[in-house]
Amino acid sequence: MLLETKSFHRSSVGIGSLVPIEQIIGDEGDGMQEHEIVLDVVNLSKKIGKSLIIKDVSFQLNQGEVLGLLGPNGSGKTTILKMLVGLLKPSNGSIHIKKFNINTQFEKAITHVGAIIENPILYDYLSGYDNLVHFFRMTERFSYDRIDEMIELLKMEDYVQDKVFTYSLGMRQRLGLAQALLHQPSILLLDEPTNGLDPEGIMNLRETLRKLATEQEVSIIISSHILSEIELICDSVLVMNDGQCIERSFIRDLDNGIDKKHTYTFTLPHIEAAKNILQSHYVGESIQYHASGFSIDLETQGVADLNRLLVNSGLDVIGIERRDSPLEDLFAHKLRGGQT
Amino acid sequence: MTSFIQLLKNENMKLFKRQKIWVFFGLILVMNIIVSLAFNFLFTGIVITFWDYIQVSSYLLMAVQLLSILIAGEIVSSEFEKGTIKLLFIRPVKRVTILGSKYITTLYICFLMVALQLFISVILGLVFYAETLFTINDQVLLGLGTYLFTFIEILVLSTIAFCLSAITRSSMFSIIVPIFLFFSSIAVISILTNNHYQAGKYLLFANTNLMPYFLDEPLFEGMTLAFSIVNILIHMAITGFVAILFFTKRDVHV
Repeated sequence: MLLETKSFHRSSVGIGSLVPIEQIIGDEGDGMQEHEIVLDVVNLSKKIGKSLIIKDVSFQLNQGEVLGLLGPNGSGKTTILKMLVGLLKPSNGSIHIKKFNINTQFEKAITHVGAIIENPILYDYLSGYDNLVHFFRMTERFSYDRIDEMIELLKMEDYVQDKVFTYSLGMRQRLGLAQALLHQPSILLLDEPTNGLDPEGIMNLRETLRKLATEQEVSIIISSHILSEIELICDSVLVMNDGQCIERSFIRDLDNGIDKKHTYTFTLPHIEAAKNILQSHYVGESIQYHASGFSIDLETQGVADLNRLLVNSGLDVIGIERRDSPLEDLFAHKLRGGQT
Repeated sequence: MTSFIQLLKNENMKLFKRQKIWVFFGLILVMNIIVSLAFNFLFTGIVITFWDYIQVSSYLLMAVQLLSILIAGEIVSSEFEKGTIKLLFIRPVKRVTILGSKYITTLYICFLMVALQLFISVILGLVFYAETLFTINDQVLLGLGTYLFTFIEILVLSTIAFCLSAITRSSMFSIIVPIFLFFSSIAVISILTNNHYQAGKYLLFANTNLMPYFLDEPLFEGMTLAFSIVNILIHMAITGFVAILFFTKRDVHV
């Protein structure tokens, strides 16, 4: 059983063909401009007591890049974020934010960072507005206009004067985001920002973050264990497991290559007839049959070809659907691969 | 980088937008009213002057002392207990500056409560004993002296509660320990003085009340005002140093 899953994943990786990040950065003809590196993490380790909870993690973040920090619970996502903002001191390695070391030049480095670490915990007994005033006062750019701008941007007018203890989780998330954005940071760190948001809230958040990244070139790190969210927001991912970085790649390289194979599900009423055709034309392909159709790994052109073949044979094809998400594939492969 | 005044404004906002401080102010007012009424209506046989009343009201500073510890003992640790410290520590402000702003706020709130206590008792004294306001005798010094020296004692105790709050990050601990130390040391010190056990003079709480140097005899032979002041300063410097060290260096896991 184990062997089977392994070989399945190995083959799916062959199809997905992950490109290591170094290769992408070095690739000039890629169409992507060279961006300033705003965050540079080198050989980061953290030991608490006797256990090493972060092991030698290195990565860089470009200006305007949205990075998804993925991993199961306890894989060290929050610990890394806490080190990035100086709440925890690294046992080893260094973190530079805009060329400033977070531990030796703390104030200069942290000015460029806005963050929500874990759930946004604000002062319950103050109003949302007072919370914003409080945290904004601690930076040098304080202005009431900017607070009003932020309230408008995140559509908090209706409740910003209420005490925070009356807020729903979604409202708190938004207030948390507002306090992180007030001082116009160049790096935004968000720990599970979609926690407690309703679908509409998630959509709004996604839009806001996209805008920040494209219009203001804010670099964003989002940690999450919900794959679909990361995939929709992020340019790249860093997959953590057991304190180690096990993958760092750009989403667009996982996704959408015309010459890459993906699993497609064909839905059609005459499955038996289709089976005959497939068995004669697609020898050696792994095809899974369901009650209402079948799944097959194909390239984009292959889908068209198969569809034509089926239609020409007089079969009705009701639907063709690409089933897998490239990130899910990567995640499953990397994590299970790492554990077995 | 960020101005210290902004941090003080923040601490002020957090204190006065919470109910607690207003409850404390209310308590001080109610206690004084009860004491003044009791005095006025229970002790009808003896003559009480305005300054007698001020001196008597100074016993209520004991309650103010407890209230100060309640504030000083949680002003730092509550940020850890609620988790808001994470949002404080990720601003371009040195941790030691944050601690400083909280300490200044603590001292200032202690002053405010002692001043309120004195103010209320002066008002109530005027209400009941206004005609004896100018009966000047030893009681004037004794009354005002008690206020001044108890205020100093309150500052010392609050400093200890404050430091414990920064060191242990637990409000419960930082509130209970100074109260326990204070009251148990009263018992210990009285046993030591009765037995003329000289080493007792090195205990912090044998030194925190400076009034005897002016109006009474010191607790132990050979104690001087300078000795007590140095003793207090050494104790505060040590706890203060440890507090700064723990507050600025330790990881934040909340």
